[in-house]
Amino acid sequence: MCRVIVITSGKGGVGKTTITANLGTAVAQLGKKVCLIDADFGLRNLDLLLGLEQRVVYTIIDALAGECSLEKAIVRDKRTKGLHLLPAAQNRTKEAITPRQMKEVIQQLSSHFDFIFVDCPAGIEMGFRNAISAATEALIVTTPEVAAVRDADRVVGLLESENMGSIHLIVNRLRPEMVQLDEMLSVEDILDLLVVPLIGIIPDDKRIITSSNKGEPLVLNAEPSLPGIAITNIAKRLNGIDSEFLDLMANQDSLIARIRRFLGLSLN
Amino acid sequence: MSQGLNNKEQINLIKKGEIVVVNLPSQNKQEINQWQRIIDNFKTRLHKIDRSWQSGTKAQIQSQDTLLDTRQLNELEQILEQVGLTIDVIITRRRQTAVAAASAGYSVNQESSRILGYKTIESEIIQELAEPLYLKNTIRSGVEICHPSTIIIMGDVNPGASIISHGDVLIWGTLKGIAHAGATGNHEAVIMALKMQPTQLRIADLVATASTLPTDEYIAEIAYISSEGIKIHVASNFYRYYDFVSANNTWEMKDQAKFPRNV
Ligand SMILES: Nc1ncnc2c1ncn2[C@@H]1O[C@H](COP(=O)(O)OP(=O)(O)OP(=O)(O)O)[C@@H](O)[C@H]1O
Ligand SMILES: [Mg+2]
Repeated sequence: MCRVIVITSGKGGVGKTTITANLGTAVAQLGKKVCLIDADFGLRNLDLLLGLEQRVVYTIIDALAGECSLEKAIVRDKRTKGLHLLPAAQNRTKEAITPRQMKEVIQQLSSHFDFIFVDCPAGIEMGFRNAISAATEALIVTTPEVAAVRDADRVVGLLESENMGSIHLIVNRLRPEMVQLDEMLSVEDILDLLVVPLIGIIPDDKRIITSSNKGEPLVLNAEPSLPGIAITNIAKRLNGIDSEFLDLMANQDSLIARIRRFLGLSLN
Repeated sequence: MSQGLNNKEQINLIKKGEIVVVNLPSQNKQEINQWQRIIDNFKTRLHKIDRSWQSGTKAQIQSQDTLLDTRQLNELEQILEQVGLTIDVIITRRRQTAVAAASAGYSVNQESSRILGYKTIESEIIQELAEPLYLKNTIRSGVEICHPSTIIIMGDVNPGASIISHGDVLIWGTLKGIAHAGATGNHEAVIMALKMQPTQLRIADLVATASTLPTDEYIAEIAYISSEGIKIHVASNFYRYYDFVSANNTWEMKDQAKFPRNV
């Protein structure tokens, strides 16, 4: 059974594409067949982050227009076994495709993959509707900022009204030292408002930016990094491995204290 | 398929400025499958509809007295999506429709968009007739609930959400968004919440913002109109100590409450 998971946020620039690239790679590293779909028409950059830009020949639009087969539009990542990308068209707008078409594309792909991740554009308009149309699971990405959390809340409401099967939260760009000084929303603050189960916390780290610029997902790096581990943990949790986090949640200890401990440990 | 439907019995789209009003036919007879017939008719007319709007244009559903459930609302949304319309708000006269729409996450406006026009006689009449609206879910950012009578929410009202009632607003959860009680001018209306952390409180034509209100109280509280504007009191004993004085149009402390009993 193929799982179709949309990665969405409402607010722009919170790390959806970064997380799609890294999480997709991490899930493929676990031996799964993965297809990443770039649903950000007109502003595609998932191919850049994966270092696949030069290999994009056709896009989802060409496949829909019958100019090529869907198979042909899909780019196979040679670095990561099992990882594939279906690129978006750069020269089209978000209205170039309908939710129904998106559903059909994903339906055709679903028999070939274990996981399909859809990188959603910012906003809640047509591009968002397309991206969520075929998904049965959603990962909400937010940063610890009031505006991002507000938009995440709006998106959760919309997903609930679409009867989205499961919704999980990823808090990205957390800076524990700022939380401790009360200069940043804590994960608890965010959970208190959104009331959505947490699947991962990714620290703010400049290596994410450098790896994006190189077109090399951080999780590929031989040298382990904190954000890399955080993303691999999300991949594991998606596959039902490692229940560490669920225990964390059930524990009365402050989540942040636990995470800080976890951060401290892995840095040793 | 589209036979036997005159203009009044079909869904009509009317462009009004930036939005498109979707008029649903009023329910005149208890006809079986009337909805299906209307929908089929609408679908067949769809490609003929003159699309003078852009994709993503907001649609206002005027459902009048038609009873709609969640499934029907979803069906309507999907069809409208095909012509580039996104449902913005559902306007209804029926409580069941309002409940279904609100619990499906749509913004709801019961009665009419005239809700902010204060003291219209018509809405006062409606207020007496309307039953409370009881919603059992978290009201999230971007959702606005309007109702001509008391609104009861079992859940939180998040920042960015607003609850607008001609009557009282009772929130069995945390109020973080905006609540407006007595929206047509009723000074007697109150706002009650298990935890008051509102962005803004409005009662009738008065407004109180978060900074003027005490924060971080972990007890049920009630907001009411006093002679000095909107005030907040512990909810549990409010009615024991306060009375609404119609002559002044404010809530005032009862005489016996002014004096301690055990002197
Ligand atoms: N954990 C992190 N630490 C540091 N920088 C990060 C982190 N996550 C994302 N970024 C940076 O934030 C920027 C925005 O990220 P990204 O493009 O993934 O966001 P997005 O949500 O896909 O944006 P859009 O809404 O425009 O599609 C990028 O420069 C990225 O490198
Ligand atoms: Mg992006």
